[in-house]
Amino acid sequence: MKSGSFTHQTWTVFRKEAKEILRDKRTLFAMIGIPLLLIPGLFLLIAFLAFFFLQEAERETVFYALDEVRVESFPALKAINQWDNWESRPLTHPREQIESRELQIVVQEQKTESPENEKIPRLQIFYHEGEIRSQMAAERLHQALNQWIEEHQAAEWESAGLAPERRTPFQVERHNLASPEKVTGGLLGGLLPYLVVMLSLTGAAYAALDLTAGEKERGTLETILSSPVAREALVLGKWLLTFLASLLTSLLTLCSLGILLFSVPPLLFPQAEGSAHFLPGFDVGALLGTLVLLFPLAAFFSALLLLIGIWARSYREAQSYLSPVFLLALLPAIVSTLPGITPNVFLLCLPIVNVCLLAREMFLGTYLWIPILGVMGMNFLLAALALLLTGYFFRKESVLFRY
Amino acid sequence: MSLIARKIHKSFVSSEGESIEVLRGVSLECARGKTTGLIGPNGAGKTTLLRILATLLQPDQGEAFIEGLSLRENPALVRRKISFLTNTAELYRRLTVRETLEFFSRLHGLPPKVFQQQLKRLTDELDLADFLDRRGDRLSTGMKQRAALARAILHDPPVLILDEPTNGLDILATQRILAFLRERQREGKTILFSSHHLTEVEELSQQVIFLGKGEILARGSLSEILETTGQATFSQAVNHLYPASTP
Repeated sequence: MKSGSFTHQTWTVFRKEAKEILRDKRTLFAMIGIPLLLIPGLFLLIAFLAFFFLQEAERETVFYALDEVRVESFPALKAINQWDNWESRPLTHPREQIESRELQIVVQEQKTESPENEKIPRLQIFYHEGEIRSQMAAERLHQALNQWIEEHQAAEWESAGLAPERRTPFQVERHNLASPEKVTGGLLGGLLPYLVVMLSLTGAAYAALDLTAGEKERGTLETILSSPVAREALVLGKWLLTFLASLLTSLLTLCSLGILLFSVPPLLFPQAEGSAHFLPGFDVGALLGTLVLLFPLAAFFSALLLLIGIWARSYREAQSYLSPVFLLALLPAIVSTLPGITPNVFLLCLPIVNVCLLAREMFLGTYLWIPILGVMGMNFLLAALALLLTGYFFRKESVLFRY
Repeated sequence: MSLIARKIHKSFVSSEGESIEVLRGVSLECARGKTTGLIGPNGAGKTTLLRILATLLQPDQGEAFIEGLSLRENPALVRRKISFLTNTAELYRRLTVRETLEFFSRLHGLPPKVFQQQLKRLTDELDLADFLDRRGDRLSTGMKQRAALARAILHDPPVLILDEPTNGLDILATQRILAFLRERQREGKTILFSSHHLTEVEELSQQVIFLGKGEILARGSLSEILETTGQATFSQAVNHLYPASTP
C-alpha cells in the first residue's frame, strides 16, 4: 500500500477509528456485550418465564361443567373426576361463565347421525380461544378422550371388521364458545399494550437526549444555566416536552394502527361485512383506558430518560445507555404477553408489567378498578421520584460539567 | 467594587478518580465600569474561574460578590446582574437568532416593548439584520459569536463575563466585537473577559490578570505589569511570566 495514497489514507483512518472504538468500553458493550450476553440472557429469561407461567397455569384449578352428558356412555369421562386440580362446577350460563373465566370448559353431549343413520354419540368441548388455561384444559381433555378411544375400542372394532368411520364409540369435537370480541380482545390485549409501552419509550428517548446530552454537547446548556431561569423550571419544561413527545408517539401510533385496521381490510376485502368483521374485539374503551394507564408510565419514562441524558457526557454516550434501557423495558413488556400470566400483587408492583397486564385485562373486558388506581398511583410516584432525581442532577455540577 | 472574588479554590475529580486542583486561592477585584483581561495558557483555570463567577460552579473554598450580592447566597439574583458568554458561543441550532433572543428575553422577564427596543439596538450595533431570521445551524462562526453576544447582553446587565469572546473569529469579526465592547465600556459596564490574543487584552483592559496553574502570577494595569516584570513590552512580559509556554 503506497504511503499517502487514497487506500493508505483510508486504511489509516480505519485503524484510528477502530482503535478509538475498541478503547470505548460503552461501545464495546453495545457491540459485543449486548448481543453476546444480554440478548441470549434475555431470551433465556423469557423462555424460563414462559415455561414458569405455563407450569403455573397448568397447576391452577380447571373448573369444568358437564352439560347433559350421560357419563355411562362415555366411561373415559369418569377419569376427569380423579384428575388433580380439576373441579366440577354447576352450569348456569355456559357462554358467560366461559367468557368470565368462571369455567374453563363445558362438555356437552350431542347426538349425530352416522352415514348409515346410526346414532353415534358426540362430545363437544366448549372453551375460550383467547384464554390459555381454557385452551390447555380443552386440549388435555380432547387428547385424553381420543387416547381412551384408541386404547380401548379401536383395535377391537377393527378386528371385528367394521368400516373406519364406525370404529369409534363416540366423537369428540372442540368449539370455541367465547365471542369473537373476547378472542380478538385477548389477542389485541396482548399486542397493543406492549406496542404502546415500547413506543412511548421510543418517543420520549430522542427528545430527552437532545434536550439534555445534546444541549450539553453543543454548549447551550451552560448558556441557559447562567440565565435567571430556575433549575426546577428548566427540568420541568424539558420533562413536559419529553412527556408530550412520549404520549404523542403512542397516541399517533394507536391512531394510525386504528385507521389501518379499520379501513384497509374493507378496502382489500370488499366482500366482507364491514370493519367489525375484522376487529370485533376492538374496544375503544379499553384503548382509552390503556392511554390513561400509560400517562404515569410515560411520565416515568420521560423523567428517567432526562436523567440518563443529563448524566451522559455526550449525545453519543447517552445513546449507548439507551440500548440497555430498551432491553430492560422490553423484558417486562414481553413477560406481560406470555400465555397464562394473570395479574397478581407481585406482578402489579412491577413497572411496565403492571400497565401491560391491566391493559390486557381491559381488552378482555375486565376493568380492575382498584389495581388500576393503585398502579397509576405507584407509577406517578415513581415518575415523581425520577423527576426529583433529575432535578437534583441538574443542580449537581459534577453531573452538569462531566466532560 | 463591582466584582470581588476572595481566595477561590476549586478542584475536580478526573475520570480516573484523581483530584485536580484547578484554582488555588484566586482573589481579584474589578472596579465598576472598568475592563479586566484574563490571560493564561490552556488549563490555567480561566474558564473555571469565569464559570464560578457566572454561578455555574460553586467554589470549594472562598467567596465572591457581584454588585454586592454573594454568589453563594443569591445566585439567582446574581444571574440577573451578569451576562455570560461561553467560549463556544453556540446557539440553538433549530431556532432563528430572533427566536433565541426572544426566548432569553422571556427568561429575563423583559417586557415585549423593551425587548423590541433592545433587539433594534443590538441588531444595529452588532449588524445582525442580515441573519436575524436565520437558524442557528446556518450561521458562520462570526455570526454566531455576534448573535451570542447579543443574547448575553440582551437584558442590559451591569457586569459582562466573557470567555474568549473573539475565539475563532477573523480580523473583521474581531474588530466588530471589540468595537462593541468599547461601546459597553463607555456605557460604564464592568467587563471581565479571557483571551489568548494579547493585542485585544492590551487594547481593552484597564487591568490585566495573569493566571497560571490556578494561581494569579501577576495583576495590574499594563504599566504596572511591565514595571513588575521589568520588561519593555506586553509580549515580553507574557514570555517572562510563562517561560515554558507562551499563550
